[in-house]
Amino acid sequence: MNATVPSVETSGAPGRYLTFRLDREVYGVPILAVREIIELQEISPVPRSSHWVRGVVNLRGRVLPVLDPKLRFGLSPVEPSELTVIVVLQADDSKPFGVLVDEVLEVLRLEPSHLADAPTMNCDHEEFLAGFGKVRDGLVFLLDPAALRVS
Amino acid sequence: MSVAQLLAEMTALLAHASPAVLREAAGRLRAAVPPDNIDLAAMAEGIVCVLEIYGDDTDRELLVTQLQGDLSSIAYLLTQAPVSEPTPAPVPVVAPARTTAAAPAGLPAWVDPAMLAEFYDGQLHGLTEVEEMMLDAASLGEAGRNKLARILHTLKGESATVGFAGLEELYHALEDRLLAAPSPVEVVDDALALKDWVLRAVPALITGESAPPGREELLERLRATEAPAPPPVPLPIPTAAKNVLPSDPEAIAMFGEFFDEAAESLIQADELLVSIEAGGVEASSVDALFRTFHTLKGLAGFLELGSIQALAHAVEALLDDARNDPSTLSAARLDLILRATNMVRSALHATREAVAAGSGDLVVPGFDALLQKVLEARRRASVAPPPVRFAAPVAAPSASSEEREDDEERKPNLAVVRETIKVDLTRVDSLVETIGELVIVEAMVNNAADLRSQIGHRTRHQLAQLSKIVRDLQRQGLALRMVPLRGVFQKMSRLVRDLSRRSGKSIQLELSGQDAEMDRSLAERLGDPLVHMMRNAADHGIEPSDQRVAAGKPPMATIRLSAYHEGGNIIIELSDDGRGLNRDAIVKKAIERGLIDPSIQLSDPEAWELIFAPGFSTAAAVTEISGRGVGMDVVKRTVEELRGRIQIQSVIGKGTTFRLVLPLTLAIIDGMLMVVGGRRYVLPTLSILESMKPLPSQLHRFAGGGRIIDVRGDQLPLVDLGGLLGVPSSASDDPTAGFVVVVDGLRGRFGLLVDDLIGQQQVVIKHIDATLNSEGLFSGGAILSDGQVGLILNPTALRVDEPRVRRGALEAS
Repeated sequence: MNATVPSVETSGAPGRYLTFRLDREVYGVPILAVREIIELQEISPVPRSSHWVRGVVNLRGRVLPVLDPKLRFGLSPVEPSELTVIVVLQADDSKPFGVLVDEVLEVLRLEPSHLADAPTMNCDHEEFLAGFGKVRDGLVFLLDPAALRVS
Repeated sequence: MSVAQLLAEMTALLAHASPAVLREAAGRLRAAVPPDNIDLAAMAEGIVCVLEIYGDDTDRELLVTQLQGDLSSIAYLLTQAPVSEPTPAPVPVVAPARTTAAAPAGLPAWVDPAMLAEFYDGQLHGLTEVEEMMLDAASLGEAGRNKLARILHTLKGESATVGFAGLEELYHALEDRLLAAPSPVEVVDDALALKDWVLRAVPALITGESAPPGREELLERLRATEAPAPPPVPLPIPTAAKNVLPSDPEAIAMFGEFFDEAAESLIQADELLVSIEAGGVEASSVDALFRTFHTLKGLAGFLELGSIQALAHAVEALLDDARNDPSTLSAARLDLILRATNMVRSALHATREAVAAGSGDLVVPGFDALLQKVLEARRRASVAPPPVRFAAPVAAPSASSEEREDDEERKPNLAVVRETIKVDLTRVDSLVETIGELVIVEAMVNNAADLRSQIGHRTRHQLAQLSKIVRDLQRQGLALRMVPLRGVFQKMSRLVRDLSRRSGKSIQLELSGQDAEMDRSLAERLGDPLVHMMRNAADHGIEPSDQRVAAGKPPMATIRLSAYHEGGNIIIELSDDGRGLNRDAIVKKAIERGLIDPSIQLSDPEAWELIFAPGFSTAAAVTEISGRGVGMDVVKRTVEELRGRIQIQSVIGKGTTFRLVLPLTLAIIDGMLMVVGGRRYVLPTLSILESMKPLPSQLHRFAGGGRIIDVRGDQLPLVDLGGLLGVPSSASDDPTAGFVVVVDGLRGRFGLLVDDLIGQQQVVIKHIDATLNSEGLFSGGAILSDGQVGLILNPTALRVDEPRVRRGALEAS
């Protein structure tokens, strides 16, 4: 439980990524930042916290905060379905937190050739974006786990 | 080689030899132990095993610590049943080792095996430290040299206590050499030679064998090198009982430490004397008292305070008589000893002032007269009990060891030196955390509805058993972090001594409940608030002695510091018999500072509460001790942070009592489980005064908004928890459908309106992410019995407005 996570490779660099779906788009986080994936369980809301905090769950005796990235991006909240899971992330040495996702897809190896420079979109929430991965004609938005957590 | 020799060899090897060499030595040790001594054989086998388990890359320190413990145990066992050479025909075991335990020949009668083991342990540790310091002698500096001298001095004292004069002499010579040498580097070789010899000699001496050769040469060497280098600071042993005021800064620097140590010794001595007076002469108390005075004598001698040394020595002699024959410790003698501790205390006080002033008279009135009396008491009686320090080891020990066993049965409450090990705190924490998880899972299993309906009586019984064990485990786990308050309290006695001197008021400190235990992290943080409160008491609370006398009080003021358990909490009370809080002055000051509205009549507790406002001080004069009156707000904040609360009682002219109510640990709290908006929350029981089902007649609403509840004539603001948390709550709409919990918060009492109360429960506090708690409403989370998370409400954050103290005014100050 107390094992420290090896320093996470910078998101956006070549390496392995866990990809998941939010609405119709595919997002990825460095696999080294992923501690585990747990099934959806009842989340206790935390009154008066940020709106994108869904609440807390009991992760083997620890109180784990669970965030909703879609609320973070200003979208409608993740709707629970059979595919919904909580991805437990731990960025560097900070405390672990859960992220609610619509569906977990796969673990993807991104070679340097897969990485594209990010075009400037001049949009909101760009601070979460660490880069793009291009595979099999698909596009993966690579997220910075540490940025997700900061309030 | 004998077991003792092998033991010595192993001990010497311990610090530097490779595990392979140690393994080989351990093998020889095991072979040398006669197989019929089961304990000893097991210990030796244990050492071999340890060395086999640990590889060459093991943490050295860990290994050494472990082996030191084992070697000490073997030394102890050797003293229990002296072992001769391994012979083909094993020595017949006459009787169990314990009853044949005899102090080895040539040792004082009072030395028992346990003491020898302790001695061995002490020497081993001390010498290891000496060696470490010597290996880095070039960078020692003056502070290092002084530390080294003190270690040597302790080792010398220990040797003298168990009667090894030969060792004492060596240490003494080295100590002199060290203090005389221009640099500690010059004594490195001699110190290491001494260490090697002592480590070989001690096991032999303990088992009653003759010491290995080489002592005379060593002593000569230590003394010879002493002569040619003329010591810059001569150390004359005072022939007459006179005090020499130290002149060199080095000695003066050591005085502070000496006073602290001496003060502690005196406190110990007083405690012991009082217990002897109340409960009769116990061999163990006399022994402890003897050691205390011996330490004092050593300290005084080291600093050339001849008169104190002489008095301590005279008292020591009286106590020595008592050790041989308890009946000699008559009431008259006891009284003399008590007077001596007081006299030493005054003498120390005078010396301290003289040292601080750089000059002065060290003579304390009546000192010499008392010294004479103590000496005479001995002289008069010396006809009757002949000093039998070196009684024949045949008759005395069996009697004394029986006596000691009896003593232990008769007086179980006497402080017993408990054996301890040092453990990394993070390991303890991780153990406690894991136990916490076990507790949660156990509760979940036990409460699982589908399981309970299916299992039979037998399994249910086993589950109950499991439950009990888990609770025990949890209790024991938490006890690992518990420390007695003694350490914190001892610091206070030193502080009061200082405060008394600096403020020119005579103050005595009475301590009680020092053995009460609390979580280590709590105890550590308690020090600062106590210091603040102690300073306030000494500076503001206690009047100058002329005023006290005028008010009909004894000139000597008393501060009482006590601790006791009450419910699941620990109470720490600090009371003084000073002038009490001046209500009018406090209120006036608060009005001046714009903290309160002049038209409002405050109750006493409300008025006392004002002293916790930041920067609030009523003291007319800013003094060296209390600074600018800051502190009480810090005290309050710290106590709140520790999830405790603080209460004040004060009677003008009689004194003030501060009462800190603190949880025993930060890891677990007693909580009240309550429901708002269908969710469960936990409120620490410590801050709850009562709870009730409100009647319509108790409830009032100002202009359809602000709520008030009338609790037996007190109008308290009513906080709607549902509204505060922004969750729908049935009680918000109709308070009579819900419950009201009366909370004692940081800013006074208030009612908390909730939908339902479930009951009281112990919960393990889990930290929650700071991002979840931007408003500080929650102090943590708790895993409830069904595995869900319940948030723990922070009572101080539930009510942000203040009744009478204007917030802006507070922050501006």
